[in-house]
Amino acid sequence: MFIILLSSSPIYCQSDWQRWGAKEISYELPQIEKKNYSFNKAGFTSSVMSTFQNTYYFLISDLDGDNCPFHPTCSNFFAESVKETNIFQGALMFADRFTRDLNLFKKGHYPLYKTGKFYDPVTNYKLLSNEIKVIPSNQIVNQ
Amino acid sequence: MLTNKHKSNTALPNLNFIKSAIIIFILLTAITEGQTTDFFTPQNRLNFGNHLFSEKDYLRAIGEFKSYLQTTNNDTIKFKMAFALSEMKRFQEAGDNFKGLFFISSLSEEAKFEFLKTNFLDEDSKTFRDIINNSPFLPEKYLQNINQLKQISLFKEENTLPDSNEISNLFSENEKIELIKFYLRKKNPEYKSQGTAALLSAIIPGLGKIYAGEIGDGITSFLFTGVLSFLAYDNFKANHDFRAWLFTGLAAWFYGGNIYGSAAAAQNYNAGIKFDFQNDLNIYLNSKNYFFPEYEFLDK
Repeated sequence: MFIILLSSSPIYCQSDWQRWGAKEISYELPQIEKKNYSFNKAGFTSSVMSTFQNTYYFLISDLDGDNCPFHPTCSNFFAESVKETNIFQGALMFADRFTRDLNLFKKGHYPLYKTGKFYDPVTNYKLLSNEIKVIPSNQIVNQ
Repeated sequence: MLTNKHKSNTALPNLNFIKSAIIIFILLTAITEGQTTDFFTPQNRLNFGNHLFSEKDYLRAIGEFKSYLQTTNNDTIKFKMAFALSEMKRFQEAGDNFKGLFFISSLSEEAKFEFLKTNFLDEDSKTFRDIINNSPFLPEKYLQNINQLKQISLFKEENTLPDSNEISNLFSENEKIELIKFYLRKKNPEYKSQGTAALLSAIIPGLGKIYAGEIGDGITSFLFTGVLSFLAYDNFKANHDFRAWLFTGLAAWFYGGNIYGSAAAAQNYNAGIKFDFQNDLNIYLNSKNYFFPEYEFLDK
């Protein structure tokens, strides 16, 4: 009894047992990207693009699954590049992206998105040097 | 014998009583001592703050220093607090705290220099140089360090170069050699021409990509455009006009995309060269502590 009391009294003297600065770790799985089926009626090009995009999502992408190794996916890249430039430049950017997607030896060449996919944003291919974001390969991007 | 036994029996209870008394005494003192010691005296907080500071646990060190400064006025601790904020990249707050030490302080010169250092680390290079040129509070003791920072800040900007004579005058031999290497790297960057990349890909699909350092993408482009072109040719030959024109269109699309992509690849390559330069420069400057002086009083 005495030993228990003796050893417990100094223990209770210290009240702060929590380690400072510890960060809570989340084991929650990252959210799967949901497709945006909204129809863009901003102009003729946007309406045509939205129609093609939604048709592709519905008939092909949803059935095929989440298989594109890039973020944004090739279809999203096409839609974004047309939105940010024009239909001709967007089409050329998509052709280039599609060819890069075919390259079997692209592993280790791109930074990684938080979902584990290769991060390859549209801004790096608009031919605007001030918009290029250089991120070292294999670095994880959390934005 | 009986008498001896009787004697030993009568002595035992006294011994047990003494043992119990000693244990109770230790127990009680442990509890009372544990409860009465005041850990939060200003001196203890200062000691703990200094320990946290030396461990680079700046956030908590600042908390302890603030508590200490409520009871005692101490310029060294004020300086350490501002320095900790600067290390935490809270440059605005750090600068404000250093300003408080500009006058009537034994650390006035150091505070002025550290104030300029926060601006060097926080602001863009041009603003930093404007601050130096217009500041009435330049520390006499650290004028050489300030001129060094001024020259280095020219490396950080896209289109400026430091004066090579100034580099020779301001830095030591070893530093001079390294900085001249950076100077030459910035003066003659190994950029790739976007036009050349596009032209090479127009001649042979994928060649522009290889020129821009994307060998895998270049070979893929060559093969893919080649396969589409062959399919177009083969279908024309077999009189399958629809398929032939379809593959012709696809081949033309991907041929154009490859030319565009080669120009973009050259641009990305150049952006990578700039990034690597700044990255290598930052690593070197960090290893040299940005040529900032080290203060002995910070370790006390």
